[in-house]
Amino acid sequence: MIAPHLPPLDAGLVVEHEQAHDAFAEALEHAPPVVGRLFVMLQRRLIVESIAYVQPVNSRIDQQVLTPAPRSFLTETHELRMEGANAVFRHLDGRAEMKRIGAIELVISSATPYVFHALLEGPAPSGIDMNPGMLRAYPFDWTPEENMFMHPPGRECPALVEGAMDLAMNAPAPACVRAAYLTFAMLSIHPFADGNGRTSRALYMAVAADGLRLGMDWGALEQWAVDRTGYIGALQAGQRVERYRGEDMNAAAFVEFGTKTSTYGAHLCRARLANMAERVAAVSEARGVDIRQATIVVAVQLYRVAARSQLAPLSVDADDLDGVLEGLISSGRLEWVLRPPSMRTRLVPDEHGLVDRG
Amino acid sequence: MNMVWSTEDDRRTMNDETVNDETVMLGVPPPAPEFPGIASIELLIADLDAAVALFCDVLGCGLLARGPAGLIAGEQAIIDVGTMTVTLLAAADSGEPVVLPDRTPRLASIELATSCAADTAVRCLRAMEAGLIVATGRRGEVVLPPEAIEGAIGWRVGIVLAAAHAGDGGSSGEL
Amino acid sequence: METPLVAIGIELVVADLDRAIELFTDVLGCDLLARGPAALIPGETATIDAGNIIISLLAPAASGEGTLLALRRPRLSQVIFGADPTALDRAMLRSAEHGLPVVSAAGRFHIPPEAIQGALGERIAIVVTGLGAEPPATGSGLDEG
Repeated sequence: MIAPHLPPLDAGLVVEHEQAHDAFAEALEHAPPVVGRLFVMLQRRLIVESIAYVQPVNSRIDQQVLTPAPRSFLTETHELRMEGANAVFRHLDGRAEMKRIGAIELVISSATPYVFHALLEGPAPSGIDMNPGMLRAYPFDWTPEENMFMHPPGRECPALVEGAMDLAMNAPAPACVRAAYLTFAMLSIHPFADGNGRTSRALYMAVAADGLRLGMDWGALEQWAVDRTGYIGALQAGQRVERYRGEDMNAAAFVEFGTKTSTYGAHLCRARLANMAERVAAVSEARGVDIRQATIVVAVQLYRVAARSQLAPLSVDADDLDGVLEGLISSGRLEWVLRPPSMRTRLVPDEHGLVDRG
Repeated sequence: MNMVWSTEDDRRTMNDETVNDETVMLGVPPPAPEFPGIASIELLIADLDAAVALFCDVLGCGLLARGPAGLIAGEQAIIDVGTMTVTLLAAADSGEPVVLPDRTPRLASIELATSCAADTAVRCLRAMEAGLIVATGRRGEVVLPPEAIEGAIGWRVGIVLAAAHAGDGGSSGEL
Repeated sequence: METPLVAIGIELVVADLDRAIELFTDVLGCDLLARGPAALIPGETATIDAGNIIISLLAPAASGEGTLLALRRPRLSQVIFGADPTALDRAMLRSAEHGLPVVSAAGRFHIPPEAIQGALGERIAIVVTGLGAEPPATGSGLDEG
């Protein structure tokens, strides 16, 4: 058995992708640093929700909310998936930073699928131990009503994963193509007992990172979650065979889907960043507060009811954050209230949070 | 205030020049009007004949309709219980249009009657602002899918918001 | 013509009462009528005004004084009907004639969930109460022991 082949992609789509991400990188680099951190705070949350696939509040591709509320009423399974996805994001972020300082050459490495899977399945979100970080040894079949496609036997998985990783890391193709290809290949091989979707989406992030100025594709995965039908459709378009046969499968539709959604996501991120900058400026002017205070107020608005720990990414210094919060609370602009039960999670169990009092 | 994107047709061709022009502003949802009531509950059941017999022969309720389930493979019966209807849904393990994966007998959905389409839209925004997943069904109803409600009450039940007399009923909560 | 039974309420066993109340009140806009200890079993209950019917939310405790609810799995646990006295008597007789166990009390009766499971596949109690009578206590038709 062999891994699926790497398809070509229309050069125009690659150029559009590059331009959209460059334009967003330019905007983020020129935004006031606190506004940039505000964007990262929101977008990181959306990416973690998307890796975990706890389903998005944004549910219509034609009517996407720029600042969606945090997912609430999460089940324990959802929360454990979020916990794993959060760990994966930290790993990705760390690798991107190591690459930036020259400590490593690529964000992706041959160990990345195993690391991601271990992080995602470590909390055992399904309630069953699914051998974190290990390839499956047994066959995996869907129930016929879910999916007729049959994945390869467990014994073939090590070589198939190695083949797909080799193409994703070394083939002479744009990173966006290799990234989406790897997601398609891993979802087709289905090498783990559980957690293949989460691992495969995270692997897209790792490969795409190496082709982007920001070292992070901030847009694609959110779109995959919003357009779940398109995501499944593009995947299944390349699996029009009864059982896994790498030579008969075609990643082209998924690569096109991945690139287009990434391009769209970059445009959305740029619009979202501009919206945040406008909101911060408006709050600053209307309430006579400085830009740091205004950013905190907007962050509280974005969380609806914000725990202190959720605001920490907005400041490089904890004392500084507490000082700003104290000023906003003492002036009556922010107020501590009980956080709704639906917002209390394993990661953020705080009973109290801040609301904007205008 | 949130911004929303424009039309589905623009979805794949949107570029950075069109983003700001195409967006429209949505206001913070106004307070919802008085709650109008429950139109229907849907029970996934194991044996439709037995369930119909319970409601009609034993309890004396009226059978409004019986026939194929609209959205999934299976058969359903609609029972008049006075203040609302009860849809009894016997999901099949094969057939068209789609097989329901989890056919465990349970309360599968609660349909709330909104006063009009605008009321539905307001309640949809409230749900999104609360961080819930929201989907739109084929008859314009808003669906809070079972995955969203499981974290609130502990099992997978869909909540459907639809204007009274909006359509033909059915099992959209589960789908 | 016989007066039909009218559904007046449903009872849901829930995993987290705070979250369930938040869903029905803050998100869906219903009114919370009451909240307090459950009358017959250890646990807490809340009553929601859903317009045409009442929704009782029951969070049974897993420990404490009294008889613990054996089946605490979240689910629809009761469908409550109202009936005038004649219709109530007829419904009770008809239930018994159909071979269903009937547990009666003053002005009401219920068919236990174990019996309804054979009809619906899930353990749901059917409670029929006289219109104008005191509503049944939360958990009154649930499994005992």
